[in-house]
Amino acid sequence: MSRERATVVVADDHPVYREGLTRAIGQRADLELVGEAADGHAALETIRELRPAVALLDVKMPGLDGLQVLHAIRRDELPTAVVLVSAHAAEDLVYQCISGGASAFLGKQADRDEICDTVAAAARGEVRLPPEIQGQLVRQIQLRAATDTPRLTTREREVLGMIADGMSAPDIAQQLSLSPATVKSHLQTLYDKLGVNDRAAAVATAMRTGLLE
Amino acid sequence: METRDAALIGELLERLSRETDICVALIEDRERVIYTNDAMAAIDDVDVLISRDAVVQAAASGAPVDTQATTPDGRVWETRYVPMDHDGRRTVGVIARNITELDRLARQQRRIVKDSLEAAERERGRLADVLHDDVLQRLLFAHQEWASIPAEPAVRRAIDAIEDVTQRLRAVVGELHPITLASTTLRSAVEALAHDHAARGPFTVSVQVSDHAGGTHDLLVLAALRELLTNVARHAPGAEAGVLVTPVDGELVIEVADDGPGFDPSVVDEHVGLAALFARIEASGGRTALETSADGTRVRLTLPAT
Repeated sequence: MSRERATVVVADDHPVYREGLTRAIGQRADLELVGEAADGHAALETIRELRPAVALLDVKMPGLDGLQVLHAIRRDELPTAVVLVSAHAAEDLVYQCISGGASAFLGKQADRDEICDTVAAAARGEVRLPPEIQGQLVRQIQLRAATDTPRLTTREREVLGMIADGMSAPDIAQQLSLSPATVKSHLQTLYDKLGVNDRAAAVATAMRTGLLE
Repeated sequence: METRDAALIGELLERLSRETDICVALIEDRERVIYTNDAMAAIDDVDVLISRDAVVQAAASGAPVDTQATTPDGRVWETRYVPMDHDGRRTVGVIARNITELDRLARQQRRIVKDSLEAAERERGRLADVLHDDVLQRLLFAHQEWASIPAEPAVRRAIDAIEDVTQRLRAVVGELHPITLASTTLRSAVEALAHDHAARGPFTVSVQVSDHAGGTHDLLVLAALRELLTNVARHAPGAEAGVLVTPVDGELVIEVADDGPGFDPSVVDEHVGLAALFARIEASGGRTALETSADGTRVRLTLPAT
């Protein structure tokens, strides 16, 4: 079967690591290295000029970072799929890359066959994520969905339940064996977490966000 | 009071004020000055130094009132208004102490603490960059080179060792400088920091970081949380902690509360990390509050909007 090789541009500011990537791509029958860059601006310029099938980008680069290059590629509607690699796979970074339109995200510890396979898959229009990255992405999606719900400690939930029952601060203090000053502080923190200034608004907001039934 | 005693006390106050720059006045019926020592008499702007509001407040409440005043000559005064009953007349004694030098030294000290902590942070950031941008990249390269060789047991062991070092190095970089990537948000940096400290504490933690909390204070927020969460691990292992970073009334509030057994608040000044943090927050124009009791500990830092 003879197919046209997928063209690839590689961008990474570290010469040694970049050399490893370009060598691996050069050895693949299904991939063709057409350009490389050591920073984000040069990467974007090369991609605009050569319009490769895939851009393999490091996230942390001087000038524009990989995420900014990705945004520019999508904004300019270039026909290039983007695979991002990073030495530092923070959950929210994975989320930003995928939601920003990347075809794949890989940790830089991934072996070169896996990176090349992912690049080849991106050229075919596939999206590939290693299992650990999938896990991070799912956690981040869930976290972002839950962002409207204030995060209360056990004690704060107890105090919230009691003000919803109409208990006064001294009653709450007695029931929980806390000093009135401590209860007052819990109330202040509760109000700040709920973004309100009084009890009634606290109870209303807690009901709206599902903290209270 | 005998006239003789009054004269003696007057003499003592005069000597005291010559030694220590203390101004004294007695004010009757909230406005009539019935006595000033020489130091007070020498002040050109007595109206600035003596606050009429504070005199009225002290006379009305019957409790001492403490304020600070700065006279136009730049001197800073710590003033106390003491309500007294003198022959059935309501009298307020005013004692003002020149703390210009103390004030200057305190400001200077806070600025030095702030500058040195910021310098340490820059240095940590530089180290993190070198480790991340060069050392880690070379290790990752070495890992890929080894991984491309058919896996004999010795090669496998070498790969395992490199993976282990890589993981440790990543942890060190994260600890040195939580925001190593421009695209990492404050919220995820705070969450990573909090969960990391909680795992090592051990303690449990719930984190709430507002979407609007990020900005110019990011590094200070993270440095503060690093110190406060280290304290939770130290004073309240096994406790439940809450971390809150949110704007309140235009200011940024950073709060760490735990339900641990508390600690002796008088040791704060000896506790270098916490004292330095408080000095740094104050030097940045912020406020600090510490409550600690058997019910738990709560530290609340408030930073001005930027």
